[in-house]
Formats: sequence, C-alpha cells, structure tokens
Amino acid sequence: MAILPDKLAEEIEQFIRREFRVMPDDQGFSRDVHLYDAGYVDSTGVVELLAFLESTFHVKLEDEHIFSEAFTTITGISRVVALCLNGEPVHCYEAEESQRAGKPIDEGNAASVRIVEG
Amino acid sequence: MSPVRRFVEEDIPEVADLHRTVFRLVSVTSWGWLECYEAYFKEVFLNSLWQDEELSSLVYEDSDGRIVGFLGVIRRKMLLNGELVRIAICSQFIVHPQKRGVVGLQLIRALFEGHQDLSITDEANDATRRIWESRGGSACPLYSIHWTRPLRPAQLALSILRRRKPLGSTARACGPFTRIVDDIAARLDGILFRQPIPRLSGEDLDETTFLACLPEFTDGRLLRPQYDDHSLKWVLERAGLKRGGGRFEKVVVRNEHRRIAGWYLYYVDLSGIGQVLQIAANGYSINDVLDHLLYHAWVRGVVALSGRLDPFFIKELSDKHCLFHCGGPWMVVHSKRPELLQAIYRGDAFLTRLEGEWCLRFRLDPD
Repeated sequence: MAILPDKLAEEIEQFIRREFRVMPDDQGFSRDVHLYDAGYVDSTGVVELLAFLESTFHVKLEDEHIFSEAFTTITGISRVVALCLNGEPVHCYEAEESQRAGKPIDEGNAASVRIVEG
Repeated sequence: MSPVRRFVEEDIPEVADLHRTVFRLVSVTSWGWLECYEAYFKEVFLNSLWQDEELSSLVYEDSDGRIVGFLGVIRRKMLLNGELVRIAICSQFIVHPQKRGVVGLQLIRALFEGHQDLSITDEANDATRRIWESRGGSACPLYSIHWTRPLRPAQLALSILRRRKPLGSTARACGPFTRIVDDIAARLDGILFRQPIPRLSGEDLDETTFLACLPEFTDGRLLRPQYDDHSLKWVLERAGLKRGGGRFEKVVVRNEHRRIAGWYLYYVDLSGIGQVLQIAANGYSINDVLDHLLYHAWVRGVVALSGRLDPFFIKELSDKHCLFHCGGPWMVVHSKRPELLQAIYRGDAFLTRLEGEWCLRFRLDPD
C-alpha cells in the first residue's frame, strides 16, 4: 500500500515546530513556506532534519532528494519521502509540479551540483 | 538551479561583503576594508602557490546570481608512506544568514567531489563539523584534543576572570597579588611551576634548517607534510604577521654537540595564553625540547602555553603536566582513500597547526 504524504507531513511539521521553536501564532509558517529562505531551518538544521527523517521513516535520502527543489517545504519534503518509501524516483514528483505550474519538464539531474568553470 | 563554481578574482567584493555580514563586521570595519579583503583573498585563496586547475575555492550563487556561500580551499602537499598526495585545506566556510539551509551542504558536497586525496578543516566549530559529517566527513578526536600547560597559575586564573564582565574589575585589582603568588610558586622546590634551566640550548630557527631537518623528525609518520622554499616561506610569514596573540618565536634546540634535537614555533602572548603552532622532535629528544619551550616561555612572562595534541607525544605532554581538553575546535576530514583516513585516525600523521588553517586566518587590519 502506498504511503500517503499527508500523514508524513503532519509528523514532519510537528518535528520542525518543536525542534526549531516555531511560535504557535507564527502566521508566516505553513507547510508550503520555503523553510530555508524564510529562516526556519539553517544548515545544521537540515542535518538534524535529515537525521529525523531517516530514523523516523527508515528511509535513506540521497543527494538528489536533499538538493531537489521539492525539499524546501514541508509539503515537498513529505512527498519526497513518500516517493522514496514507495520506491519512486523524485523527478516524477518534480515533473508533476512543473506540469501544474506550466513549466517545461526537466527529468534529468534535478538536484545535481555542477562545477562550472568560472 | 544554483551552481557551485570556482571562486575568481571578480568575486572578491561580493565575498568580502558576505564575510563582513556573517562575522558581523559591517559596523566595525574601517575605511579601506575592501582593500584589506582584496589583499587577503588574493594572497591566500587566489595565490598560484596553492591553487591548481582542479582545486580551488568555491562560491555558491543563488537563483539571482548573488554569492551567498563561500568555501576557501588551498592545496597542500603531503607524503603518505612516501607517495605524494594532494590535500585540500578548507577555511572561511561562510553562508549568508538569510540563505542557509542546503547552501552549506552543497558547498561541502562539491568539495568532496574534487580531485584531492584528502580534505581537512582543523578549526571547525560544531556546526561545521556536523555539516561535514552529514556529507561523509568524520571528526578526528585525536587531533581535536588540545593541551594547556599553566606556567603562572594565579595570573592564568586572572586572565580568565578578566574576560568575565562582572569580575573584570575585581580581577584587575588582584593583579599585583597574583604576581606575588606566582613568584612564590616558582621558588618552591618540587612544584611544577618552577621551570628548571634547560639542558640544551636554543637559537632562532631558519627556513634552511627547517627544510633540512623536517624529514628526520617526521620520518616515523605515515602521513607528513612536504614543503619547499616557497611554501615554507609563505606559511612562516603568514604565521608571523602581527596579531593580537603576541610575538612569533621560532626556536631550534641543539644539544651539547650542536646536533639539532628539534624545534618549536609559538607566540609569546603576555596578556593571555601563548599558542604553540608546532613542536618537532623525536622520541629521544622530545622531553628536552619541551623543557626548553616551557623555560623559554616562562622567562618571557608567558602565563600558560596551549597547543594541539600530537598523538606521538601524548605521554611526554602528560608527564609535563599538560591539561588535555576536547570539544572544539575540531579537525574534520574526508577522503575516498581509506588508508589516508586510517593514518589520521591512528594518530600516525604529522599534522600541526602550521599545516592547517592557522595561517589562513583573516586579519582586518593590514600591516
């Protein structure tokens, strides 16, 4: 049976609220806020989040997951984890998101880091 | 998609601004700060002495093309069981406070994908250590242990108390009394604060002697540094730049036959703890070299010495009543070659502060 992202999102949201001390009345916080740009999670916070996700959901997150566009919101993270648990590639989710947003689909190397000669 | 790319000269103003932001220097930097940064980045991270086509410092650009992350990298050469290996020494790892998240992880990932045999950062705080570890790096407990040897215990206690605001003025008032206590302690027989006159003699260490003798004092180590005239001159000049930590001393220790027993590099800091950069000796001479260092520092008024542990000499340092402590700064390493990592984990590497980030530090005020 496929794992539903919404159930994962609930647990992830609770972890982030607790671990990063999000105020209960913080109107800016939601499952779709950019966790890094909005300042809720910093670099060491990402490390803690990864440890939480891997130990709680028994999933191994690779670089393609961590550095994907999806891995910036609670909604996106929960879907990435769900895809991992269901054995599906992350770029399927990103393709779906691109279609919704009307953008061209990029199926290759969604999150790879390129060294570009300066 | 935001790329990580090589740091180039044109990036200096943006990286300098990022550095000032991260270290909260915006309000305190004086006129000429950009020139100071330019000189620093050109001298350290764009210096052809330490760069090659495949190993360079890195920047992270966000989707707007702004630089929001920087990782300084210089190339050092070392010998692993006689084989020349390429080492990346990493420093000045900074990310814009409003752009944290995966920027740091991306920079470290890019670093680890480089062509170097080993990556090292040896002044890592806890945050940096955790980021390195999350990407496959590992902390080296042995080389993250530091030692402190009190020479004037009462004045050492005072220097520590002075830094605590509520006690600062009380500490200053106690100054004369602590000197009396230390003088008495130094005159008592059988007490460790009395520094005996060393058996061997010391003189200024020159670069020729250093280069000639380094192989002898590192011969037993699986991993050891490789210097030439230019690289040694550069690191010693950087180490000797005027800084708050006191006068830089380089002392070679000779026995009664004028044979070299070893050397040490350290700072005579009269206001606090004298930092030791490097001690070179062999198993037969280390006690004499340590005795010379302790006496040299003591007669010059240093209240305590501190350095990073060389695992080869843990017993001798302990015998000289050095206090060991661990908990930062950390040495963290990464390599795809297990034999390199094993050499470090076993403590079989000559990796002193001189080989690491110490000489890459940024100073705001130019000479």
